[in-house]
Amino acid sequence: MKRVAVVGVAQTRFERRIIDRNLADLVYEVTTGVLDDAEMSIDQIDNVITVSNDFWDGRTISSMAVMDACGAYGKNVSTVEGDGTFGALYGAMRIWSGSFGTTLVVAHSKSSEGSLPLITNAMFDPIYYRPLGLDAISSSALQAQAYIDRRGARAEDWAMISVKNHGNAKLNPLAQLPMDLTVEQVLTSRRIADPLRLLDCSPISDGACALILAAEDRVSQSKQKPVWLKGVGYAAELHYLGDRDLSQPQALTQAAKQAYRMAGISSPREQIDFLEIYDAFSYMESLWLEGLGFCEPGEGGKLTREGVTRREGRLPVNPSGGVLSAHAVLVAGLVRMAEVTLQIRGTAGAHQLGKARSGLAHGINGPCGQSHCVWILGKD
Amino acid sequence: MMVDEWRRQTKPIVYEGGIHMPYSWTVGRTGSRFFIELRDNGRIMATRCTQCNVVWVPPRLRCPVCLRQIENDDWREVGPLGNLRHFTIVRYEQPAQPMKPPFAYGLIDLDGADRAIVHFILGADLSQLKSGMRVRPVFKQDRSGSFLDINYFTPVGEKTE
Repeated sequence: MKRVAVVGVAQTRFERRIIDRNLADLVYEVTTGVLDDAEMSIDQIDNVITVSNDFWDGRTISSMAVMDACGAYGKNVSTVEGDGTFGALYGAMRIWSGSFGTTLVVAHSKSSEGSLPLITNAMFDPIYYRPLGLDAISSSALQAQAYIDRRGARAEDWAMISVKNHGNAKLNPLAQLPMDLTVEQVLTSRRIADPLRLLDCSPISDGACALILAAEDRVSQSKQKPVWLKGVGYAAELHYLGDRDLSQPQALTQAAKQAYRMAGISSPREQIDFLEIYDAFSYMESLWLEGLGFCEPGEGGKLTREGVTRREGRLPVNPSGGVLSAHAVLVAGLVRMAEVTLQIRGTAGAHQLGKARSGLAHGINGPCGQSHCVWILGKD
Repeated sequence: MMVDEWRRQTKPIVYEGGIHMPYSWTVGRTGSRFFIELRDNGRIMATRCTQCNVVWVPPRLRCPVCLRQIENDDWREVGPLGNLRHFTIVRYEQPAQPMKPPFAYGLIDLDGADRAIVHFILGADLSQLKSGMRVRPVFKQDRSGSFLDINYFTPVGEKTE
């Protein structure tokens, strides 16, 4: 199997409501941005993967609306409805299969245009659970409570995650919510759905992100140093919340094991320098760290408490500010990959880490992380 | 620069709109049996996979783990009592919610079932709710064959109207 690398990245700035550019404008921006980053021309892109969702875009076959903007004219183009990490997976597979030499992966989202509670309510089946009015927030609150009940998780630790990630965002000019917070402020912010408070929740964001992936024999077409896709894993759990132990993200553990095996990682704690993971809610960062095997179940909060996951810590987590600081749905996972790439290149700017040779990027799909995609990226 | 000038001078327009899309959702025979039992007899039905030894609720035509087909003997009534596995008290309002907050959602382990269902927890002082407490369903008087034929679950011992 050919080695595949990320050879170009672009992101928009993430904002609560972008009204001076429409969806296609955002896609144009990152498509030209990623070509500029790589100093490649659209002729050097063999195929395109877009990431979109009809409900969020408010139209059917939403992918077709951005075909022009992503430079897909005359090219083979296909779409993933799900998080951007899965779009990158499809894009990489098209190269690993030998079908193409380069793939442009583009994800866009204007989360502000639709209704988050109505759209996320619609992810539940219409027969049993949709009529209850469940949505992304209330279902995640059940998971957060499960994490407390089964693993002894603590809201104080989640507050520290919110403080850390919003603080990290101050160094990332593309993040939406850079904030100086205290644990006290998080713990006294408005109650949303117990045990979650306002500052435990990610914002609604508009924005887009693009990557160029290239086979080993094509990476020299980019002016950027390649950042290699060393490993990937993905797995899903059953859909109904009651079928799952919400305190134990077993699909994540399976996905991580696949990714580590492919990347030749036997001890993730020793061999991975930093992580960008999908913290749509504060508790998710520590729960996903457990699922990824960076600590024992129930110990995720301890990593935060002991400062391990801070920028200066032994294992920085979400140095970009994470999803808590900008959550363009579908885009956010691809942003995790873009951020890991920038760190490994050494071009992350003010939020550049000292040690960043090997990083992990992670995305989720479905209620409470029903499915997970884990990527390991590396310098060589 | 000229290009910046027109950008600066053009005030962006935003269209207000919406999509109303009617559907006729088919429930299927397995789900239909669940809802008919709920409507006509106030019984909560589940299916057991004899291979995995798991009682699934809501019932499934096939076991979602091993894909074995459910046979006649595999249907059983579960509950009506159960244990409250986890709950959340919802304090924000949104239009898909059928009632005004605050209210609670719970994951409920019905007696005899191996998987939990999600439903409302009401009829009690919400601050008194505890994970693990015994709950019972309160059925609607006029039932139509829907998941909301169960009005809500309430802690055992709570009086209801």
